[in-house]
Amino acid sequence: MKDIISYVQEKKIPLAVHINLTRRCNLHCLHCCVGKGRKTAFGQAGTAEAGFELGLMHIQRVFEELAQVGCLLLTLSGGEVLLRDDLLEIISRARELDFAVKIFTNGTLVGRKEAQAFHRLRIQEVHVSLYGADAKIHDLITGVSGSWTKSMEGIRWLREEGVAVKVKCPIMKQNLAEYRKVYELAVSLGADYAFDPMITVRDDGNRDPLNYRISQEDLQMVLADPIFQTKHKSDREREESFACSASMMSEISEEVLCSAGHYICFISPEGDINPCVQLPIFCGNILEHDFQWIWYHSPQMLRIRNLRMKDVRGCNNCRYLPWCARCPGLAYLEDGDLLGPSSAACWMVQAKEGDRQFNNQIKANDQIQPIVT
Amino acid sequence: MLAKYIARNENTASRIIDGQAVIMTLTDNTLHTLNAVGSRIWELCTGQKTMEEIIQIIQEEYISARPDEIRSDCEIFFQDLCSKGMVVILDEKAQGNN
Repeated sequence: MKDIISYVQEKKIPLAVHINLTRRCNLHCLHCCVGKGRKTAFGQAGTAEAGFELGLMHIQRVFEELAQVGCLLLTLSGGEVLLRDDLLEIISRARELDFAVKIFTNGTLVGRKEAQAFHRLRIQEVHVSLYGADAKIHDLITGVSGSWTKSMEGIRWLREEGVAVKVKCPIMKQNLAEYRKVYELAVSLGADYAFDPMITVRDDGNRDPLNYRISQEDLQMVLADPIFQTKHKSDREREESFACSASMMSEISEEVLCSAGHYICFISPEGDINPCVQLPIFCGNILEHDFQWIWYHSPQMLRIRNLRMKDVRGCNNCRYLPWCARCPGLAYLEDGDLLGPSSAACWMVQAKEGDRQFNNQIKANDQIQPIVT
Repeated sequence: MLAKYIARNENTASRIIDGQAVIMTLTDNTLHTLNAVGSRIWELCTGQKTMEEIIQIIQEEYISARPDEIRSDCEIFFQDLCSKGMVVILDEKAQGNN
């Protein structure tokens, strides 16, 4: 078998599926991307009412269907996933079907019992959100006093039980001065770490989180930090593999937009299926159709799957294109056009490289202009 | 050694995709893929068969290959699986598996 990712992308096997099990949460994070309702790019969302959550029996059926079509990697998230009383049962069912399971949590509800269960169930990795190295900033962002202390206790229980933890820290205006301290804290806890400055619009279209996105100047500083560069080495290698030339532009034009709908997929708490957690395109509901039908035959899924970079409007002459990690979901949520320029991607790519480096590398001609200056 | 039982390590997750095993080792987040013979052996690593029994099954199923080559290849493969932490070796038959 050739490279597994290329293979599953070619065969349209949903290798990795992200499931949000609930919208409920015990924190009120400023930047949270999970909205109260649902926004959808094409057609209407499923008929399930807000507040409805797939039950254990539905989830078991979904797991069985996913296993049948080749899914191996499951991410279980929320909301706060530990607010589901049946979470451990859900994970048990997933492990019985031999899925690799990651859990995204704020950690506040993880005690010894949960940590021991995660170890026993061989959870691949638990991702815990942490916004500061002490309570002051973290609790300001979560809106809940005492949340930092509880998250730290959760991380310590997990580490004590030998569960792999990744500390995830979105970087925003409020905690820009904190992320290096969070890095040191994560290392001291024996945890992996990830920082992400990409604060996004909520999945219901609410734009409030954008108020917390750092400036491009600050972003340049963050991206230049060796911590960040080491963690994103694979991205950099991908970028470097694109030796920029005129012929490269035609190669990019035939590329798929992203992995959404090709080998990754998303299921909402209500059972709505989207091509990706970031791409709010309703393709069907698991209560109305089986997963296989939605994945292979839903018109919306096929529409996304057939899109190529050449279909993107307004980016194909951009000199930043070869380095751009444009996300169609963010383009839709933030700029209102799935196929239009993404201000989030422009913000990122321009900060990433800077004009001088681009000028040295690109054989620019008069037709090639940046989308956003 | 070959008289011992062999089972998939609990620290793995796997799926057979188009006849080929795709395996995630959960301790290092690495995806492994096995060829057709390796995938057949992976399926047989349930803790219910010894390595010797598995070798014999492969020899019966792949009659076009020389038995001694199969034996040699299988022994190396078992060692590879062990060194990557993908299987465990058991003195007795595992309970609860088919």
